[in-house]
Amino acid sequence: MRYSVVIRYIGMVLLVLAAFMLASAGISYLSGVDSAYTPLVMSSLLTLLMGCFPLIFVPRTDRISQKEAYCIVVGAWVVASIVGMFPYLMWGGEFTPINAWFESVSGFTTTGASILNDIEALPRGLLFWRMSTSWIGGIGVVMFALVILPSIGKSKMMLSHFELSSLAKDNFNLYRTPTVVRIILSVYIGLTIVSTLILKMCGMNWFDSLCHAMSACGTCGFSTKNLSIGWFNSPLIEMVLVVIMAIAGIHFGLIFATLTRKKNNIFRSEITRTYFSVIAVSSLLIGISIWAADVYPSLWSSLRSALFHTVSLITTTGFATADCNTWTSFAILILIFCSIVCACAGSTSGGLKMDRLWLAIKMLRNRLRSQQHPNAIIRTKVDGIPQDKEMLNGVMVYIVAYMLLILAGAFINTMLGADIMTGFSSSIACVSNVGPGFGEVGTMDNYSFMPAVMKFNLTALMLFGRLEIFGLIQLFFIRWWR
Amino acid sequence: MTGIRKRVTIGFLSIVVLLFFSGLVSLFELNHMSQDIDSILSSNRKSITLSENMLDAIRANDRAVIHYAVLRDTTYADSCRVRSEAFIAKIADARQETSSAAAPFFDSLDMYAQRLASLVEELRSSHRVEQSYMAEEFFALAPAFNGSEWYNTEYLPAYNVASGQILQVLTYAQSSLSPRAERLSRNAYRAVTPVFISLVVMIVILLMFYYFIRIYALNPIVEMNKNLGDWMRYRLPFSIKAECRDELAELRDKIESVTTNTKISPK
Repeated sequence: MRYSVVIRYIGMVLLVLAAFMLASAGISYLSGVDSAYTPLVMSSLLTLLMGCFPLIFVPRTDRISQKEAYCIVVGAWVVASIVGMFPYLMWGGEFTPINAWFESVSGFTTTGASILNDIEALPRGLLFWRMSTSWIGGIGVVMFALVILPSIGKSKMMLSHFELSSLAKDNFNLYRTPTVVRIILSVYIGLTIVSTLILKMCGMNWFDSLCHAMSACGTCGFSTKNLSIGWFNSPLIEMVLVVIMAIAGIHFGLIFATLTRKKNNIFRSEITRTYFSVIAVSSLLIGISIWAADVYPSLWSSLRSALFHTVSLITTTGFATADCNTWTSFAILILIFCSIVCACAGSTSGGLKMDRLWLAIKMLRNRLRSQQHPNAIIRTKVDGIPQDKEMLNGVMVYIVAYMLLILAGAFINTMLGADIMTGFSSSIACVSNVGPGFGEVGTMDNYSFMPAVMKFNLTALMLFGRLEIFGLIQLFFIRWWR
Repeated sequence: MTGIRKRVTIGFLSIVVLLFFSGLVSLFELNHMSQDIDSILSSNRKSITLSENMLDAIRANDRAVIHYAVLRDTTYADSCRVRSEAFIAKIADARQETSSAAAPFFDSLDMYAQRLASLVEELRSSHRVEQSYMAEEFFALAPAFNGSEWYNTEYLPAYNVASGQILQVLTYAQSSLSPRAERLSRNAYRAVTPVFISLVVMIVILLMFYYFIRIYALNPIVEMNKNLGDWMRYRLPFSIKAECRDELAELRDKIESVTTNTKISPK
C-alpha cells in the first residue's frame, strides 16, 4: 500500500475543511469579529498547511488500489474529526479535549449528540463551524472532495465506491461515477438552499434558517438553540422541517430522477413507499398512544408532536420540540425501532437503512415459501429486479453485525455506570447516528454528564455506524496493513 | 510537481512558518494572560485604595466631631461640615470607579454617610456645643449638653455602621475578583492550547516531511547506488521505480540511458 498516496488524498479533504473554517471565520467577522474569529482563522491556517504539505511532495496518481481507497475514506473521516476539534479547543468554554472530540465526531458523523449545556453561549462563527461539520458529514467528507477538487480524476470511482453505502449504488446504475457524485452534491446543495429560503419565510432569521437547513439536510440535528426547534414554538416551522427531513432521508438518486422526470422515481420505489408507510403508521400509533395517556391536551397536538419526532428520529436528524421521556413506553419503543431502522440508503441519514429491513423481510418471506415449496426457485426482488445472492447475504451479515455492535456499546455503557435505558438507547443513538436517545440522554438532555471513557466509547460507535461497521473494523487487523 | 530543492525548501519553510506561528500565538496568549492578571491586580489595588480613601475620610470626620462635640473646640464646627462633605465625595468617587454590580452596597453607604452628616449638622445648627461652652467658661455653670454622651449614644453607632459598610464594599470588591482569578487559574491551560495544537501540527508535518524525503529522495538514491554498483560489477540490467518527475527522475533516466548505451564487453 502506498501510504503517501493515502496521505495526499486525505490532505485534499483537509483543504475542503480549511475552506469551511475560513467561511465560518467570515461569519464570525460579519457578526462583529466575535470570540471565535481568531480560533477559526488559526485552525484554518493550520489545516491548510497540513492539507497542502502532501500535495507538494506526492505526485498525482490516477490509479489507486481498493485497499488505498478504503484507507483514504476511513482515514479522511478520522482525520477530519481530529482537525474539526481545533476551533473548539482553541475557543475554550465547555470544550475540554474529550468534549471537543465528541462534538467534532458527532458533527461529522451527523449524529447530532452534544455535550454543550449552553449552545446559545457559542459565538456565531463557532455555531456555523458546528453546522458545517454536520453538513460536510451529511454528504460524506470524501464525497465533497471528489466534486470540489478536480485533480482527483479517475480515482473518483474507487473512492465514491467506498464512501457510498453499499446499497446506495443501486439507483445510480445508469450514470458514470463523476455524474453520480455531481448528482448527489447538486441535490444536496439545492435542497439546502431551498430549505434555507423556506425557513426564512417561516420566520427564522437568515443565520438560524441557514444553520437549521444545513442541519436538517445533513440529518444531523444540531441546533442554534438550547431548546432545539422547541424554541421557535411554531407549528409552521415544525411542518416545514418535517418535509425537509423526510426528503433528506430519501435516496438522492431518486430525488434527482423524480425532478428530471425519469422512470425510476420516488413514487415507483418500493423502499421509499415502505419508508413513508413506516413514518405514517409510527406517527399515528405514537400520536394516539400519547393522546390516550393525556400527555397532550388534544389529538392534533399529539399527532403533530408524534409526526415531528418520528421523522426526526427515523431520518437520524434528532431535532426535538418536546421531552420524549414523558411519553408512553409504547411510544418510546416505536421511536427506538425508528432509531434502529432509519431512512433510505443513498440519503444523508445513518442507521440500518430501510432498504436492509425491506430486504430482510422479503428474505424471511421467501424462506417460508421455500419451506412450503422445496423445489421452487424463489428470487428476492426489489422494484421487480432480482437481487444478487451475495448482496442479500451481505445484508443479513450487516444486520447481525449492527445488532451486535449496539449490544456491545450498551454493555460498555452500563459497565461504565449508565442505567440500562441510558446505556442502551445512547448506544442505538450513536451507532445509528441519531443523536438523542432516552433516559438521561433524552431529546431535551445532552451527553455532558458522561465520563470521558463513555464519551470516547460513544464516538467510536458513531464512527462505526457512519462507516457502516466493516469500514472501520478492518483497521484493527494488522495483517491487513501488509 | 516541483524539483527536489524547491520541495525541501518548501518543507523547511513550512516548519519555520509553524515555529513562527507557534511563537506568535504563545506571545499573543501569554500577553493576553498577563493582561488578565494585570487587570485583576489593578482592580484589587484600586478597590483597596478606594476603601482606604473612604476610611481616611470618615476617620478625619470622626476626629473633627470629637474635637467639636466632646472637647467643645468650636473652631472645628466648619471643619465637621467640610469633612462630612469630603466623605460623601469620596463615596461618590468610589462608586464611579466600581462596577454597577456594587451599586446596592454604595446606596447603603450613601445612606449611612447622609445619616452621619445630618447628625453633625443637627448638632451644629442647634448651637448646643457653643452654648454649653459659654455657660461653663463664662458663667461657671454646669454644662447643659454632654458632648461625650451625645458622641457615644448617637454619633458612634452611626459611625460604626458606616465604617462597617465600607468594609462590606471592600469585601464585595475583593470577592468579585476571586472568581476571575479562579477562572484564570483553572483555564490557564487554555492559553497554551493553540500553541500545543500548533506544535502537534508541526510534529505531524515533520513526520510527513521525513517520510516523503525518505521515499521520494533517499530511497531512490540508495537503490540507484546499489543497482549501479551491481551493474558495474556484474553488468546486471536494472530499472528504478520512481513516481516523481524531478531531478532524481532525470538522474535515473540518464543512468538508464548510459547503461543501455554502454556495450557489454566480454570479460
